Amino acid sequence: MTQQALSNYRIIDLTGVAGAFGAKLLADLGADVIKVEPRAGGETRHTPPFATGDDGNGVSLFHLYVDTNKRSATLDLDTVEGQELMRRLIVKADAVLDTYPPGYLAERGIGHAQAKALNEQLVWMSLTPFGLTGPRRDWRGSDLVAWAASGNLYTNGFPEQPPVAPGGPVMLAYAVGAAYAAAGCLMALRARRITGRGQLVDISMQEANLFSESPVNAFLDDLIPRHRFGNRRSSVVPMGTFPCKDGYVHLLIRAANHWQPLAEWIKEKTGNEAVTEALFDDPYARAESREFIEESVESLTTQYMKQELFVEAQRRGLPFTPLNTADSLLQDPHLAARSFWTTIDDPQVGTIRAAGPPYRLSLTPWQSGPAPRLGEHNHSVYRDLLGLSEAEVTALTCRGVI
Amino acid sequence: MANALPLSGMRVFELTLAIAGTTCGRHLAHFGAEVVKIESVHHPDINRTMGSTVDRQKYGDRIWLDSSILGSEFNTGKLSVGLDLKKPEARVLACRILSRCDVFLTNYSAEAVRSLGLDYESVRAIRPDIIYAGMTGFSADPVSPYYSYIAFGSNLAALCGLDELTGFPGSEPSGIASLSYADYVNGTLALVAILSALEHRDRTGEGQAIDLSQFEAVVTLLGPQLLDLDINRRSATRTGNRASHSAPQGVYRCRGKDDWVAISVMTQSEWRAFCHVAEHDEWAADDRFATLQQRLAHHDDLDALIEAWTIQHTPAEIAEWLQRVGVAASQVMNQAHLAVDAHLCSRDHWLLLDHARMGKDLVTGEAIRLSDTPGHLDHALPSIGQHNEYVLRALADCSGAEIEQLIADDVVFPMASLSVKMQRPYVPWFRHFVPQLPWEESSGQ
Repeated sequence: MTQQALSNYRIIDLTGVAGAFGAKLLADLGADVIKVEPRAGGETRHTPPFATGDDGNGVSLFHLYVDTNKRSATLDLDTVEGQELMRRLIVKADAVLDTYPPGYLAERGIGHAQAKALNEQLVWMSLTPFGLTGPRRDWRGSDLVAWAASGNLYTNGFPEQPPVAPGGPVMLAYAVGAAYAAAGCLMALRARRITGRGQLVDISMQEANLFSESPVNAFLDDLIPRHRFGNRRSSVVPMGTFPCKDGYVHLLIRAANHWQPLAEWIKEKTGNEAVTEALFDDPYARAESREFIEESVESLTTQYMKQELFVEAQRRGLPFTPLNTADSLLQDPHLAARSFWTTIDDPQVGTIRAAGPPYRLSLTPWQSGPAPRLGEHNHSVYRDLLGLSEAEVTALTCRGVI
Repeated sequence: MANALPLSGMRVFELTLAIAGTTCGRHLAHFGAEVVKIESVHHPDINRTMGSTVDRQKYGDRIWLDSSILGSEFNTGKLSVGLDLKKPEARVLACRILSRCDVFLTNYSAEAVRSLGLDYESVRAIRPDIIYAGMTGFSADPVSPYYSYIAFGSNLAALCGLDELTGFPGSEPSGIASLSYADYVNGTLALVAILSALEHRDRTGEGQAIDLSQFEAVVTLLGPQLLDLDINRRSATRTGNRASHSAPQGVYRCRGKDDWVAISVMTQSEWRAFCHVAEHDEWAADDRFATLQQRLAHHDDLDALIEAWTIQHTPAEIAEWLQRVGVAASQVMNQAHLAVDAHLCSRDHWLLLDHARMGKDLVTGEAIRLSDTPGHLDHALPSIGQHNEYVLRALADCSGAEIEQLIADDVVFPMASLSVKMQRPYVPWFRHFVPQLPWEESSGQ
């Protein structure tokens, strides 16, 4: 077994849909991540898509993906005995990842403040919709609400349509929050090397998603409100989404060394010579003649399928990318050549092909692995790690605590 | 313990541009690393050219490059050394600096980095335990099919499947046109990788290379959708603002010119509470909307009813009322709303930092908030070459005479004169919205 970067850490995973991907990042780099979940299964197990239809009776593919390499221990946090077991887990852990609403765990005697008294080396990462302080600390969240509060939903979409969330069903705002959760946890563990103590990591989903190329300070400077502009820019021409035979491509042509070859290519394929006139080398001139330029580009792009257009454009040094669908990604030659897809033997759905490493560390690589069945590791966690006897584990199971 | 920051004592050699690499470096600087960014006047970081209202014609390029607001957003807290790495003398200096660095961070293309003699093998020869983080579009492996392809943060979203999933069904994809989403998430993923590599180094003394292909990293965000295709033969499509595990969910028009509220109702009890707040308890009794599946099936009908209610009110009101009963909702905020947002102000989210040219500069705060070692940024965007003296003397072993010669030979770019003092136009009035920031304190320059 190749050594992994985070093998020294044990992390209690109390995340739901909002943060589970962050716990996955740590688990896939070797941390012992123990997913503590209710007997009915944690949120991720009830999140679509499902392996057999969307009626909820199948296995959640969301769970299969975000819960890789974790151990699963069931626990009823509403019982006194369950809370006591959690305290014992806290004593054995390096970090807790928590996406419960502020106060939820504290009310049960197992919040950050109580944990700190038990284990002052513990890092407690809390990821909440608006953070642990402030007038909105108790506000509820969702991926869509995170986008709304970030400022980045307002400017996305066509002007004549409502604002529309980037990435739709992928829950991209949550993905960012989860990445911050993992990074924040690791940063606090790094601090612990110097201070000898853990600390609280407060991550607001809103703040994690506030990044932008049109941030608030840019607005304060020029007082120009930014509005939705659809899928093409008017200030940089041509830039944006263009149709092809089987879908769309995205292109971004600003520099002269990109425009000129594109103009030549258009002339080659459509006989349009006007587009190669020197005056259009100036980006301002292109912006002035936006309709003409965009029509010229469309007359080229509509002659190709998106993947062949992508390959040919890149061959000519042009920054085109296809608007890939999930199908296109599964067939993508680069991902295949890079062995990006990993095979997982899941006991419930069989052999599956999952998306692979987000990064490759040369000595301590990312590793794939199955997601745990519900309560699969109750014995290894409660008996082997906490030292309960077989009889105690059975009794707790019968009483519904585990 | 002011020097007890997580990355105190750590030094980063940063060769970045635009967003993905720079945001990663900013996090490192915030938590105590000394981040040395190599900058050239001839090929300035593109985010320095994304303007402010400073008049480029009037003040010239150097001041204009130093006044960039995006520059401040992404390069705040770093040290800037002006070096032309294309010159062999500069590379000698770079090697000396590198020998004192723990991390090498770049999002230049693999080819560009190789041509500068700063690929992993070369850098490792200078500093064997270095953590080398390369953020390319398509990996540093020359054998990978898209190795030489050009991608930017803004067109990566298309390649990674995100644009196709953004927009309303029945309409063209709108894509994520206004935001280089991939860049931000990759900056954070790189941070996870670097911090992990540091763990290994602490235990074993070994550095290593991190190959982060931004294309691959973003595709990992679509894991569930890709499994759905692989197992169920079901290909994800655009769903507007809807979700399959939450209904009603959407963005609804409110009273005003372009005012919207986002709402996500997730449970049955939330649904009943929602109907009550909307003063339409009868919706909760309507068969069409009885269960999640029913509401999903009749979402269009439901949306029409909801919007007939929301259009009468402001988004702020609706969000308040719904949140009070435990339903997730928020105004769809724009920059003006965010600028005066009481919640962000109460969390001290905006930072006012020293800026060599502007006196003070406002930047977005760090989203990773550590209770005991919160981190700290010394200054906003550095002027190009602002830290030449320190970096070249202390890290590159140059004497004063050598530095003068290097400047004369155009190897080192000196910081442009600070004789012209400027101020951001918002200082006189924005201070009243966030009075707790240190508007009056001297810049200490």
